[in-house]
Amino acid sequence: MPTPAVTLFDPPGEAWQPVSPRLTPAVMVSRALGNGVPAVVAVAIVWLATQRADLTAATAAGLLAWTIWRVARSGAWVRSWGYAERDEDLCVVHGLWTRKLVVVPYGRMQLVEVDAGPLLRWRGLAKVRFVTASALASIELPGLTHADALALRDRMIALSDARGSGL
Amino acid sequence: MSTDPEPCRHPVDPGTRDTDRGRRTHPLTPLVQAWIWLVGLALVLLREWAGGQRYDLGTLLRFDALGPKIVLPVGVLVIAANGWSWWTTRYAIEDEELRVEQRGLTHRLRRAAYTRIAAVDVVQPFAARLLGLAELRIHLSGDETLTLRYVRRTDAVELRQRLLAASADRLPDDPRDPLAVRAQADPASEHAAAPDPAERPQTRASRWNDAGGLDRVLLRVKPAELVLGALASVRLLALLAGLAAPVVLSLALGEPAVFGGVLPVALALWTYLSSQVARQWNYTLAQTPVGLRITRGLSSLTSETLPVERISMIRIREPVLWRLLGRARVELTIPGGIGNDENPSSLVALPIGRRADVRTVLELLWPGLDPAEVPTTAAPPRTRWIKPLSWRFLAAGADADLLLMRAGWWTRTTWLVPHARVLGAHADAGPLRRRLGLADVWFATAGGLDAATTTLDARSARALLDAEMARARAARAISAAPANTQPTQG
Repeated sequence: MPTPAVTLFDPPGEAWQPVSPRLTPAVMVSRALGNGVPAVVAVAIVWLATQRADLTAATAAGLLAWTIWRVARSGAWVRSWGYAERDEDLCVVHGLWTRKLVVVPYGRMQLVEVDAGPLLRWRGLAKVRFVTASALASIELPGLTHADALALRDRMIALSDARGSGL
Repeated sequence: MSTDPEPCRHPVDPGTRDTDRGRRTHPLTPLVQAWIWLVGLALVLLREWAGGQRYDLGTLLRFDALGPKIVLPVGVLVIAANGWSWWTTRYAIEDEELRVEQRGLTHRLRRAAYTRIAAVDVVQPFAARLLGLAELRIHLSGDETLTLRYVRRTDAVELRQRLLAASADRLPDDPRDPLAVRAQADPASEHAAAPDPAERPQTRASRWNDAGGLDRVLLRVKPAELVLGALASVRLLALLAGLAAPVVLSLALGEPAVFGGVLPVALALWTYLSSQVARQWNYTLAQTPVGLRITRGLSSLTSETLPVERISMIRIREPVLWRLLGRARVELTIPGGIGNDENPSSLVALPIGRRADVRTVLELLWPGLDPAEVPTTAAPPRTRWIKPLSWRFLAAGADADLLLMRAGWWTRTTWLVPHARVLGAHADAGPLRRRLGLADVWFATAGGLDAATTTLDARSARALLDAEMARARAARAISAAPANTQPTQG
């Protein structure tokens, strides 16, 4: 039987396994672009629509501050991720603002997907997704090293086979 | 058996070993499928023959706007296409499987091994019903549905009996199945498996009902109850208000254009009433030799056989106005096993009923089950800060067989999930919930309905999560044991 955990987001064992800290720069770039480009567009629209320097400057300042905040929080966000492989299931916690905990038994996994976009490849990382028949019980781990990702994938597939089918 | 190696006429299609390619469905099929166009064609022709004379009906329907130019060619085309697809499609009932083969533009062979059959529905849409035809919807494990349309109603019912008997043969008898009826009826289902025309239970299926000789009706819902349920609904009030608003506005403003706003709301109202009343009309739950069967429908009659052992969740809904009347609705989900095209894996198991009816249905679906007996943990009083209306009702708990969760105020919902069907768990807490020491918990299952969810004290949420994952694991281990495909709710 599992030992009664102290609080909701405590690790089931000793500690959560973190995702790779090398993810942080990739998240920073992605957030800077994801926030920055729309911000530039928004500022341009405000300027073209109103032709008022004060409004434009205020918009720019606000959006810049938000972008900086998001970029600055990247490290904390990466550190908020944790996973634990238990005997029968995989647990994942993440999130700064809203903390989330997902538990999926190995036997329920239908698909394990490893993919890496340009940013992740730049950091030598990959994203691993565990898909079940329900979106609520699906898991995504954003930044594992290639070796970790492949090893985890293979372990998951082996365990999922051994523990029977998802349905 | 005609399994002589036939010279390979169609090398592209390795599936056609047998010489017999089977038979076509009923010749009226293409016309029934396109009956609405047929009506259109008839109207057009009628007008032509009447020598362009303005019919009241024609002008009423704005028929000149559509005109023969559109209805005639499109109607002919649709009927021709349906005719072609009917001509090129054949089905065959083999010893081990049902085959449906299409040899139209693309060749397609679909095979349903009897062992894969999860449920069989007989559906009689309006036009087919008038002509004594029916559609057979065969749900296979793995989210696949095979449709056979249309065959004679009596043939459809017989075929269903046979398919279900064949598929039931593989299942070991459920020791928990309480109904002596099933045991008594066993010989009958064997007869059905090896059909002997003289001894087969005679079917009394008609366009009004769909009952076999051995069926025992367990529950009926009166139309008055359905109407009551549809009337006592916040949704109906909202729809009526939405209907009244454009009328009042157009009168007040003297602007007739606003009146057009009635149309979409009227459509929504129609959809609502048809789903609440017309589709559930004459709801009958019966015990048949091959399992529980639900029959219902006003214009089109549907008859579904429930593969009880595959149910992954039961959901009891009590909307706020129904609570005043003491009524509730029961829905269930069977992944890849049931339902219609709009909602492939869930269905309404009881459209409306009193508490006693709900208990009857639950007892039939999962014998020995009483949600009231499942020990639960309630949400702590501080939950009122985030769920001011529903906090007294929020709870979660489990007994040896089932996970139970309750939430909601507008619609009180109780979820029941067998431990073996729990797919995974999810908990989250935003800043407010963390401050209050609360968390939202979800347990997901496969299938169409939403996940069971409630708000709990954060620590008991984690305890529940861990305990439930352990129970689910144990239940899966039992259900994965050899020679047992039964659910582990027992």
